[in-house]
Amino acid sequence: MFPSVRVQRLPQGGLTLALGLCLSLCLSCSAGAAQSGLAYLGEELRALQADPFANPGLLWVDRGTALWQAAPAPGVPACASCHGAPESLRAVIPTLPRWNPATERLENLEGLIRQCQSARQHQPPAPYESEALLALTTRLAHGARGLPLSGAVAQEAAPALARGEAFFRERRGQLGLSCADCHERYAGARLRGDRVSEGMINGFPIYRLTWQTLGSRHRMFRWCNEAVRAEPYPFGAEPYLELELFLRHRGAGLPLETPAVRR
Amino acid sequence: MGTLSLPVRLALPAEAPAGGVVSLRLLLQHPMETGYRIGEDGARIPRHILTRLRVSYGDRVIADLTLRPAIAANPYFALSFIADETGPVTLEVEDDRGATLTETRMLTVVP
Ligand code: HEC
Ligand code: HEC
Repeated sequence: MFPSVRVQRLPQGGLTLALGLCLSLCLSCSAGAAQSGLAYLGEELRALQADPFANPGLLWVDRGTALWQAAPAPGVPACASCHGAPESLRAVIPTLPRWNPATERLENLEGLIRQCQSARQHQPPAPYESEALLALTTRLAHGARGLPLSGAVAQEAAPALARGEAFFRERRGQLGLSCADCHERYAGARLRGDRVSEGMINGFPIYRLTWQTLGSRHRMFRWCNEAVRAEPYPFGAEPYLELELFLRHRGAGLPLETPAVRR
Repeated sequence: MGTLSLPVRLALPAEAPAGGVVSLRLLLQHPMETGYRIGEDGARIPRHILTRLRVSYGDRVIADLTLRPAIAANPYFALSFIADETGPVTLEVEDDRGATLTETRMLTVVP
């Protein structure tokens, strides 16, 4: 998955990422303000993301539009029958995941879509990472592109936010690296052709060349966990929802880019 | 023969001036699985690729491509040609599992 990372433990207990190739720090990136993964891409991928025709993620946008308008079964209302245009939900997207006071749990976009499918369309909810769920998620988030990620977190979600941050800073896996090691400390470093970004979530679902397909935030978390040989959590698991909440808060102000293109 | 159930994006202008260059752009959703990769269960992932892409304009075939496993997933194709007559532009795609896609658009040449 991540063959080029070698980790050395220094005598004083510090960690060094020996990258095999050059480790060049990002001088062009201004310190402090959060930066989208877009800022860490090469010219070519930026152009691909901006291309209103050839961005491959738009295939899922098209499919999402079709699913949004279609009745899932005869006599069952389509998403559009109740909600109108997908853009009618655009204001909610940057606030997800959010705290649901009724269930006293966090809910993200995938969870809300699945909930409407089961409670309001009386259908089995689309499985996580299925083409259908990715398409609907991408379509809805695409409708909100340009809106800034919200930093607001409900009072009741403060403990969840704190757990999300703790997860981000905790060393894990056989390589003993935290999310923060890679996405704060080594942000801007080169890993083969790849530049490590700040690990922001404003482009999701993203079309990732490494995957040759589109993937969700939780797929990315799983990939990053596996990169350090840590056991990944299931899609939709509580620790990932908390992490997602923390990352939204951490990236507050970044404009949504769905579908972003990434290496 | 099935149809490709995954989306395709096709961009082609409806009109072009006589003698003008027309560009056709096509984005296809397809795994383009090479047949060489090993899956998580240790077994080889079976090949699943697009095998043919044909574009005709009027009664002429203007592109006929045999596709190979080395092409990335969800491939993008662009081609250009000269608009010299009003006529149908037809796109035909096939994969190695019998899925096909045929799409026709009219191209009108305006003076
Ligand atoms: C060994 C280094 C490493 C660790 C540890 C790591 N990541 Fe990543 N992460 C990467 C690489 C490499 C990429 C792909 C390049 C990029 O976008 O940064 C990536 C990408 C991402 C992205 C996508 C960024 C974008 O712009 O689309 C997110 C989000 C992310 N990581 C979150 C996390 C989280 C959360 C953790 C902790 C669970 C984590 N990462 C741990 C290396 C790492
Ligand atoms: C029978 C009517 C109905 C159908 C069909 C339906 N929804 Fe909903 N949906 C609702 C209602 C009612 C709510 C909660 C009230 C609200 O916030 O708008 C809701 C809430 C949502 C939300 C959260 C919005 C928010 O502001 O909190 C999302 C996202 C959503 N639906 C997506 C979908 C998708 C995707 C589909 C199709 C797969 C769908 N819905 C089908 C009625 C419906």
